[in-house]
Amino acid sequence: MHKQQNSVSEAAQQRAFLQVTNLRKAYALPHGKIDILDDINLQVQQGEFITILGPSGSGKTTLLALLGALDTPDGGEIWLDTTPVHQLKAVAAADFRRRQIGFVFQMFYLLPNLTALENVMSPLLPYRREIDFNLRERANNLLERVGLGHRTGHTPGRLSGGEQQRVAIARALINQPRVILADEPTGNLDPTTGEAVLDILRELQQTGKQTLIMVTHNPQLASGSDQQIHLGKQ
Amino acid sequence: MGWVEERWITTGASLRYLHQSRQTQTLLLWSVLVVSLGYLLVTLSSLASSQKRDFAILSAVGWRPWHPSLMFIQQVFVYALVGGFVGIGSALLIVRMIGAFPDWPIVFLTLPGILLLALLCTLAPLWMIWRLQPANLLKGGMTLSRSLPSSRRVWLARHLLFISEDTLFTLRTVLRSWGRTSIALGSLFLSACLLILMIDAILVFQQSLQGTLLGTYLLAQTAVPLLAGVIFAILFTFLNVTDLFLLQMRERWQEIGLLQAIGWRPWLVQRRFIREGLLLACMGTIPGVLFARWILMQQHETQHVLPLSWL
Repeated sequence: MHKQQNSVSEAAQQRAFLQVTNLRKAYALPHGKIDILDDINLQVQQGEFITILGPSGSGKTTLLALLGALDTPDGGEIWLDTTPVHQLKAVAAADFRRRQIGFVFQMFYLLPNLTALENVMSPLLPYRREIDFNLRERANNLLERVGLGHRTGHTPGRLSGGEQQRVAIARALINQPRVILADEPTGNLDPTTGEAVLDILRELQQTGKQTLIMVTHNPQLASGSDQQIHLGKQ
Repeated sequence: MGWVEERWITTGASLRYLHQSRQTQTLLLWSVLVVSLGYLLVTLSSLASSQKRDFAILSAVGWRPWHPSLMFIQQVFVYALVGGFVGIGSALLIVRMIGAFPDWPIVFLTLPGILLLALLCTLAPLWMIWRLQPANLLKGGMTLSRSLPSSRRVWLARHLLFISEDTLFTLRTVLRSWGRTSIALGSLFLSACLLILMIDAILVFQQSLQGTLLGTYLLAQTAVPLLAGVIFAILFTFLNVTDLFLLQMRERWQEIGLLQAIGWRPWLVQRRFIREGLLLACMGTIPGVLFARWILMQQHETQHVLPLSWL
């Protein structure tokens, strides 16, 4: 048993922080299967900024969903440090997302009935008794850092697109995740606002030494990344 | 002797009618319960459906699978509690207005009963929430569906059944969530049955007792509760159908916006909703009316003593 633990930790040491091996995902449709991802391999080191590029339908969002344990692969492996992400189901996947992952979506996906502050607090709301810090204070700090300290009481309907995305970034960082997964975070914003939002995201990621994996269509944005992954259409 | 015999027969007939009316009332009460359950189930399913994306977001940010379910149960509990209190309060007010005395054990049992029914009805929506796939819901576009009709079936419907593309569109929208539509149809079916049986029971009751001494007294005593029963059944059906359509519409805000964005005039969108509503109403109520009529005919054939109302 001890020997096995040793071999596991050796294997973990040899692996990159995030390692994806032979990843496959297909969707079943009425007229057969569509292969979205086929034999994807990648290695990401801690603190890196990675961009994923590719045409629509090439599986960028699906890859992000698999990395964040929102979906399960049909084959292959995903290891985040010592966690076998590909094996995570329901509760374990939820706990993994809460502890390790911060999501930023293209459509922001804020909860319309909650204020900006409550939205930022939302990932940890059911766990208030388990955490050893002041959730409200941390959410307020994050909103200050993304420049929305004066709009904490506003609901998403009263915020602009750029402001909503900044709230979404603050929400993604509330649990101090090790990985930020951003799915075209500037896709719904004008270039100037998009650039500002990306600057905030990069600054916070560098400060927190988090790994940022971002899907984008913009080669200019991708040029500043440590590694570019190009996905082709199957 | 003749007078005593006549009184004896009249009183006997009245007692038989009373017994009959008791049976009918029990049947009607059970029908109300079943219809309520149906509507509650449809309403809660629509409520869960309208919050699917919120639950998916919460799941993506790390909520465990039972947290959204728990949140939903809390919502339902609050609705049931508020609705239950308002309902019991209104009923007590009516009872007081007609000068009757409430049956307190029943009054005290009603609220736990309502809460239990509401919790029972959350089982199906909870299953739906539990099976949510956040990755699909948060993809931004439409979710993948395996239940789309094949092009062959669409072709058959268009050419063999002479259904226009527009009607087919309406039909597909109505049937797109088959489970929920079935429950809605079942509820409309039972509502129609309930209304017909209730109105018939009142008419038969009146025809049977009118003119007799005991009958006139009984009719005067039961007029308000019977009238309240009919108004309740009509209002109940109306409110539930409205609620059902409102919730379904809330789920489809994006679709309405999209149709207007691609050039549909507002009245065209409204017409589409009216067509869907009418289609659903016809599919549910016509069989309900026919079934109620069949029950009444059967009852008349087996119990000739009861007159047949105009229904």
